[in-house]
Amino acid sequence: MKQIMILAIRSLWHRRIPTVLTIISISMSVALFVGVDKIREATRDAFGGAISKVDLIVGPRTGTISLLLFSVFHVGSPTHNITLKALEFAAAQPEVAWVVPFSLGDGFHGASVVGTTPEFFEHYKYRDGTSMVYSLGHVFSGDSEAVIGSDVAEKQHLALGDKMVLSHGHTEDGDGFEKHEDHPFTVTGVLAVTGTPIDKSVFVTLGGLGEIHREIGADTPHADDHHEDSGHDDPQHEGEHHEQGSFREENGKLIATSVSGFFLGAKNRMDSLNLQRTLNTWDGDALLAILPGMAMGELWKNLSIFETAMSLISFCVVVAGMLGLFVSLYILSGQRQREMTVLRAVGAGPVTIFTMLAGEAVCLVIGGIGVGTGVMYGGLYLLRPWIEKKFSISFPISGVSRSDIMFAAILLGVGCVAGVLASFNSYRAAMREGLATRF
Amino acid sequence: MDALLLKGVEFRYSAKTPRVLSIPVMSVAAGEKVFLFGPSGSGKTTLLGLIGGLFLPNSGEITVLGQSISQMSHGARDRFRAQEIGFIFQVFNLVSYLSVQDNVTLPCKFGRRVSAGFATAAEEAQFLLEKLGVGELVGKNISDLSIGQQQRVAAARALIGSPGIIIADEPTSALDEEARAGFLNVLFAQAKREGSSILFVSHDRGMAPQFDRSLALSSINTVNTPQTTPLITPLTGEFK
Ligand SMILES: Nc1ncnc2c1ncn2[C@@H]1O[C@H](COP(=O)(O)OP(=O)(O)OP(=O)(O)O)[C@@H](O)[C@H]1O
Ligand SMILES: [Mg+2]
Repeated sequence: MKQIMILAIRSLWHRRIPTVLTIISISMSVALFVGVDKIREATRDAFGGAISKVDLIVGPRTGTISLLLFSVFHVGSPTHNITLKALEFAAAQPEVAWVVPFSLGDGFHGASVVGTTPEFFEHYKYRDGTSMVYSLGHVFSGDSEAVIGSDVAEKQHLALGDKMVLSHGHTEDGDGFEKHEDHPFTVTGVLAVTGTPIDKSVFVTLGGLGEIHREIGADTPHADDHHEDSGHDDPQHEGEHHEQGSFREENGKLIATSVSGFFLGAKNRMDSLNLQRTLNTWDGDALLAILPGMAMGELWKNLSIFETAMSLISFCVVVAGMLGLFVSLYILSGQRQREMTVLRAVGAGPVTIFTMLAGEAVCLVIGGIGVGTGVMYGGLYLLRPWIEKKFSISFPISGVSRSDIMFAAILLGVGCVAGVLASFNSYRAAMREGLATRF
Repeated sequence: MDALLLKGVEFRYSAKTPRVLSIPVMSVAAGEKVFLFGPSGSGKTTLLGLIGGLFLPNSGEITVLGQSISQMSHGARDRFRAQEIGFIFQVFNLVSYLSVQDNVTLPCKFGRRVSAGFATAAEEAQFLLEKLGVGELVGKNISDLSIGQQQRVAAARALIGSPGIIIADEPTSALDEEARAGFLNVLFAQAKREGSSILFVSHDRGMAPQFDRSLALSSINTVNTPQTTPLITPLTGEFK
């Protein structure tokens, strides 16, 4: 057995260039496969980790996914508001522990402006219940104060105490339609990196959000009516369909009378479903309450076609890699005819020859899988800081999981079958050909 | 005791192809040097393969050094070949990824025992290579050797461990006349020392007188092969 191993290794070493090329080609396909898998996993984690410890998201009656997208990922904008009465109704339910309202729709250099209450930072968690932490400063306490996400702080070079001017409306370049120079905000807090959309958000009080709109005149403060879209006469706003809640003035301060929605925590998680039903069937505003976990699941279901396509492509690449191995071994088998004859003549039995050929193939497969996996993990490890910064998602590199081992085992199996099949061809030829010298 | 005895041996490669060999009787005495010749395609190489136990006859019996090859198990046959039969081919005798020494000692890895008087296979390899005039090549790569040098290394491999029979399939067809004579001399001298028989196949009838006996395959094989006149003179070998 040792002799066979030595022979196989010598033979591989002798053909080291094709050997290395074969290993590279297998490892590239494996690396791609593993990479796609890891990225998919990480994206899933990053998305799934964007909201935690919130039992219900409540908003105007739209769709589950659109409510999830705008409330958590700040994608799209609400077409309606819900009244504060809805918030009061929800807060009055005995099972409810807390409610935190939010209003969305404004932008600041590509970041979204979220109007909310200080309790938001207490209750809204991310990634398995992690609380947001301030890398600097503290929560806002007045209507001209703002807390900013880490990404905003970095990109806009904002530090504690800096003044910032928020805009009305969300645009690509983030500058909005009109700047509200009259109401600058002071940065009181900078949040640490979370790897979620929080990093790209600016948080202000609901009243502060109202201040942004105070100067716009006709449509601000909004009437306390969530079907007021027809009341818009500014064509720009008409097209944009954004709502940031509505406000009424009290002693010179703006008090929100409607909001985009609210987050809700139940005293007992088990009550979430009941609460969801209660809110969905309330005969006040047309409300939609969703369970974040389930909504996330639905979102994934929608994205799974893309995911499946990715997996399929990377799987095909692996198959191509294995086919390449098969072809190169197959071609090689012709060239090795003479070597086999010599080995047979000096007394190597069929088992020896077959073990040697198959052993070489298995070495190539193991080498390819090993190098590919190593390169991918190493690469991800090196690139992680860059990816996290660039896409502001957390990119955890999970350890070797059971599915990884399963996958490696399957690859190994497929590779070995390809290698052994190709070797079997040389083996059969070696047995059949006898001693005849054939070129 | 005969070194080699064939009785009623019939062989065809597959059911679809015609019979290649049908040999009522053939024998080689111990220590005898036999020159075997015959036209191309007549089955000389096939016969050597049968004697080496690479495949079995469809019927009949092959006895090598008193042991019936067809009655051995597969493993025993492979071991027997490693121990008792030294092969030399026309070209490509050597495993290209092994050193000269590893090529010579290769049969010992599959069961051939080192000759009496030598402690290790490497020692005997060195001795044989020196006798064959290529002692200085022992550490070299096969690819750095000339064809004549390769043939001597192959001869050393065939001779190591003093196998009972040396089987040579046109080993000299790639050598020039001088190298051929030298090669035969050392081969014979070593075989004589070890008491090995030689079954030597060649198209070059000029070498026949140096052997104890000349044997035409057609004289022992009852299958008629078409008498094809080779287009290329056999000196250059059997390029099919
Ligand atoms: N592996 C094989 N499978 C099928 N037929 C074969 C095989 N090897 C040889 N033959 C056939 O058997 C016959 C004898 O071939 P063999 O190689 O023994 O001839 P040979 O006497 O050695 O010829 P040469 O002098 O050219 O070497 C030929 O007709 C050949 O086509
Ligand atoms: Mg031949």
